[in-house]
Amino acid sequence: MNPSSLELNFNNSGDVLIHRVRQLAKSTHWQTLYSHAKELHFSLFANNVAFSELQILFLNYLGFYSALNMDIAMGDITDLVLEDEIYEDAYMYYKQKVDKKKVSERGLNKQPHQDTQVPQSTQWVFKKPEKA
Amino acid sequence: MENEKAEVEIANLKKKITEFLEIDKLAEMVTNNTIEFSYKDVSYRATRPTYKQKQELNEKRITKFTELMSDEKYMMEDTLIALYLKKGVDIKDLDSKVTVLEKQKQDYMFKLGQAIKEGKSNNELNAFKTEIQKIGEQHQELTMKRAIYMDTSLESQVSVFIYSYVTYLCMEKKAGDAWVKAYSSYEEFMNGDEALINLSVFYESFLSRTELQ
Repeated sequence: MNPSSLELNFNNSGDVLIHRVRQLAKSTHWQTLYSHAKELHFSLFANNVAFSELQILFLNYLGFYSALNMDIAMGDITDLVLEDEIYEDAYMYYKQKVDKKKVSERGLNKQPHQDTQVPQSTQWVFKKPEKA
Repeated sequence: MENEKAEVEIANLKKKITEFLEIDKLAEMVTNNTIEFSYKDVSYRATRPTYKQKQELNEKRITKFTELMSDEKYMMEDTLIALYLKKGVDIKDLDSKVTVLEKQKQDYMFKLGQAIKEGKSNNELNAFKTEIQKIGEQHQELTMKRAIYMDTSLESQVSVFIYSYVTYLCMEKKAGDAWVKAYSSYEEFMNGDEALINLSVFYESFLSRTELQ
């Protein structure tokens, strides 16, 4: 087998791997562990530092499904979203974009208008004492 | 005959990979960072490289890169891209097409996400999903095409070497109750059973990819 055919097989298997990692992260068992680990500060893995790529991928999906389950529990969406991984990705992508827009709008609203007089508080701090 | 042999090897590799990706095994692998498997009644184990092994890998990477740089038959990606252009293959155009597809996919993902949020009908959701799948297939086709074009580049060859070398360094086999190095030298590894090499490189890559980037 030459390196390119091996690489193509890796790519195809990579999709299967991601699907399996998602299934694992989505499971009630791992979602419960994840939730308790956050509160009780225990490690999910044998190692506490220097996580492998697979562990980072798994952690990302644990967080992803935790957020998705939270939205279902809050009634923002129905559990229909969990029927398909494309639905899950699409909803989380939409949510991320909308949240980002809200944050940037809030940030803009906090900017003072150009014609607003900003009090020069420092003028009192550095005011020269009057001569006696 | 040669093709048939390759097809059987690919089928065996896929079977092994599917077994390895069973949920229970995957859970064990995620928590322990080791992958155990058996091949022809021998137990093997892929492990993550230690600090010392990473240092050795880095030295090997530099040596290999320098060696290939001084060999005229190997070309850097940029040079290869320019050469392909002269032969009528536009890699930059391929990259632009991939970027366009990614943007289209994002647009449909947003629309589908919004439709889910608004509780739209299954028919509407399916229509967006079908578009996303179509784009995904086109995207995969183009990225694979690019990978094949770039396979002969110097960077790609160094990468193949490094994945092989880390596998040689980190693969262990069971001898009695103890785990020992599976190969005593890189030459022994390279001259070993090809199907075992492919399987080992595949497993090792999942554990060491972060270290190798």
